[in-house]
Amino acid sequence: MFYNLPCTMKIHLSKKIFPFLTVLFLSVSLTTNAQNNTISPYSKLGLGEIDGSGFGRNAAMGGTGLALRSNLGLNSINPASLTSLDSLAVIMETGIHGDYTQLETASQSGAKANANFSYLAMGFAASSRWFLSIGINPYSSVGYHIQTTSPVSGSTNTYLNDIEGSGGLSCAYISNAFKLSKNISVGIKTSVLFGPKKEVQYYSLTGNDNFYIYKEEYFKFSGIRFDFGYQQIFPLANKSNIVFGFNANAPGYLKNKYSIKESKVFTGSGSTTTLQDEEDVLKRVYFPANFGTGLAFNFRETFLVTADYTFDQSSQFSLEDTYSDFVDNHIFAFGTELQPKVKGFAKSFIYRGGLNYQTGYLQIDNQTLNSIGVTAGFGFQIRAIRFNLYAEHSWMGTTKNQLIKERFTRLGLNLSLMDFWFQKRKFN
Amino acid sequence: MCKKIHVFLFLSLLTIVSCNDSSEVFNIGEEFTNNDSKITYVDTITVQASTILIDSFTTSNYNKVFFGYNNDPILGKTYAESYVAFEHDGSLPDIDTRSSFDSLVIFMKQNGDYLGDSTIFKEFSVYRVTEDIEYNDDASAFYNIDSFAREDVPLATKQFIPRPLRNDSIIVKLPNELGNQWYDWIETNTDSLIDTKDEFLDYFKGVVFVPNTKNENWSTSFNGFNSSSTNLQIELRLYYSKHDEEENTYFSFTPRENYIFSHFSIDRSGTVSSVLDTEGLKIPSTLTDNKVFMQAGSGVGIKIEIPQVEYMYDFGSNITVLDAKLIMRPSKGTYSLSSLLPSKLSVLWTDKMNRNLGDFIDVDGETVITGTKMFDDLDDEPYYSFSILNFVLTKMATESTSYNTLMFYLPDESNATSFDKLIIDDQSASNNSFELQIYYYTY
Repeated sequence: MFYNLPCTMKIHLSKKIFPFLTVLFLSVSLTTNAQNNTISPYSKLGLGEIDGSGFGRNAAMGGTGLALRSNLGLNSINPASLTSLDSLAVIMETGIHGDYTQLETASQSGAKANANFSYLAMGFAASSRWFLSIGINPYSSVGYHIQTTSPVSGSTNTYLNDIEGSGGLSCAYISNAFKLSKNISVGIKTSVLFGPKKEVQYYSLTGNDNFYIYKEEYFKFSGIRFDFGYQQIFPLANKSNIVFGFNANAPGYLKNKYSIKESKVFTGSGSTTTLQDEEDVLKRVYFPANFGTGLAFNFRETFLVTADYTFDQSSQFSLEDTYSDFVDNHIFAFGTELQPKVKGFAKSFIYRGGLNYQTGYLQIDNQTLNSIGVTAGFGFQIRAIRFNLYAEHSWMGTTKNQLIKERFTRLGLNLSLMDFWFQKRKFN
Repeated sequence: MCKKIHVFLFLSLLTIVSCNDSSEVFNIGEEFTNNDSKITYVDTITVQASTILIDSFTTSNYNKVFFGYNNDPILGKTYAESYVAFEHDGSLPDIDTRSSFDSLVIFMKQNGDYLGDSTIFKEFSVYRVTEDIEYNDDASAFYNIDSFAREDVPLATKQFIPRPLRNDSIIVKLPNELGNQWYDWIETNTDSLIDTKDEFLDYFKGVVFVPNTKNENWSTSFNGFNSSSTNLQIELRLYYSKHDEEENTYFSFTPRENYIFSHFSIDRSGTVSSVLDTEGLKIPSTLTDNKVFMQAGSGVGIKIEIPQVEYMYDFGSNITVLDAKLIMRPSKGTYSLSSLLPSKLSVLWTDKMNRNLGDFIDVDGETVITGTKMFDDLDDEPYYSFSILNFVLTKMATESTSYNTLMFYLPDESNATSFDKLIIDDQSASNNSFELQIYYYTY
């Protein structure tokens, strides 16, 4: 069915890339609109909740991917993995996920469900040694509505602080990967990170309704991040191999255009006194270098185990936020994949599972918020579309010290469309 | 192939339509959001208090007969006399020649406004005023300092036991010669000195009630004029007996509206407050034994100055005040059951010359701020609380270019018709007598 299009390769490409780009731009414009894709109060901190689980296969395998290679789909964790694609194929991928977040404090609990776009990407070979991928995905999510009652300094009275946040960063990237030799590949991923974070706060004295304070802060982030990837295959007998993978990003800065409006509002008439009004003050956010390394063992193309370790130097992350301390995060991820050798439709089925443990990058009140997650999933193929489904369940935080415990469940579906655009017609 | 692409695009479009629900608000610990309190409370700001004396004020707008005597170890001796002019409604009754004169009395019904020991006889005298009771030039009311000439000998002297709660009436019998004279004029129906309203007023200009008992504190008041006659509690009655009736009947002379007022005289000699008679516009508390006063009858009020408010920026350049309350606590031992604290206080804007610049209005632009007497939950001690946020905001905004400040004062009616008083220690004598409570937000 791939072979009966009566046109040349060039026309093929332009015809098909057009609708793809349309969708790409559409999704860019949609993702840049601030949406609350989370309800976690932890998303107040830093750039929001970073979504690091990766594309479909990565997400099903505990977020591993540094040493994973596949010709069936894209791996967002290590750009060097692009060279595992079929040099004649084009892969287009997209995904959706539904999240169910449960939050629990010592005295309260709540839950929220939401569904969102995971990513949209495509990958292909530009030549037999040079591979490209472009895509877009949400990078972080900000969405919370919290209230705290704090003592007024110097008195037994209290005041209420109501904080509502929204926004999130998106990532648009282009990856280049090169096959240096049969077994050694390198890749570079250039990501443009952009998006807003908005926070609206109210302060009011308990039992006094003369005035309240209204504060609105708007952060507009943008910047470029470079990731460097390396993968090396150590072939073993019986179609087995071991892959070593490494990834690091260059440290850098995000531009942060910061606006603040703060005013004292007279409750009676609504008349306001402006306290602060600044627009587009240029600030910077430093993001540090992170390093990840992984190993994967592939046994006879039926069984795979992989382990990743990532050192996230979050302690060096700097965004003015006096509320919390960032600490270095150590991420340990394990994944496995099984493809039973059967015949027929079931032949395309791949089963996946994973574990993910993070020591945590947030430290609040001397409490580091670690997290643990389990994942499972499977994939199958119908005609040229691969379906990958996965589920993730994770726990983060604690209800101690008036903090929040978060239980997170995600169900995701990814679609990979494989097309052999570059294949020459065999029959004509 | 095209179909496949379309399916893919359709699915892609589906995925980018995201949704969410719930808008749960989470109450979480302060540790999560903030290490430093954004709102701060201070109550250690210095309030400088001084006593001011207002020259005179009107006492005639309340139609209340108030008189008595008050001796305060700090504020001196206050005498309140009350002037009342009487009138008839323009027509005198027809009296049968067979009727006979009985008596001329002042009938006074106690209205409950009484202070003092109600088991001991009190004595007052009623004098006939010999001078026209009229406003001073340019005035349209009577003032606390106004007085009018009287006869040397009282028309009557009365001892009474105050029974404010029993609504007892007090009858002050006036001399029979006077009563007989009036009776004759009315009975014979001849041209007389009292035929018309004006003639009567010119002939009988009024009376003044003068307290005689001066060995203890007391005061009483009677409603002199009220549009509803049932509440009328003081009048002049000419009693006579009709030949065919057993009961006496009477003809009333009622108080003239707005011609009822009290005159106060205060003797401060030998007390710490005597400097009020000699000092200037503003008497700092240091000159009055570290105390400041409010006193009815003499226009004594309290002025405050809070220099630090003009320098609130000392607390940080980025602050804004959210609330400000001034608490005043009466000096212990200066009040008692027989010398009650005023139930309410007024606040006025005033200038360097102690001129009244109008009521102090709250930030809403409408509410007139007053201070109501309240009692502390813990020790049941009385205090007054004033919301002075607007003062603080105004002072902060004008950056000390204005001398205008707040004056705390007894409400006008209390000032004119009571012996209310309030004595407050300054901050050097008591650490919480004046307490400015400020909440401010740091941004």
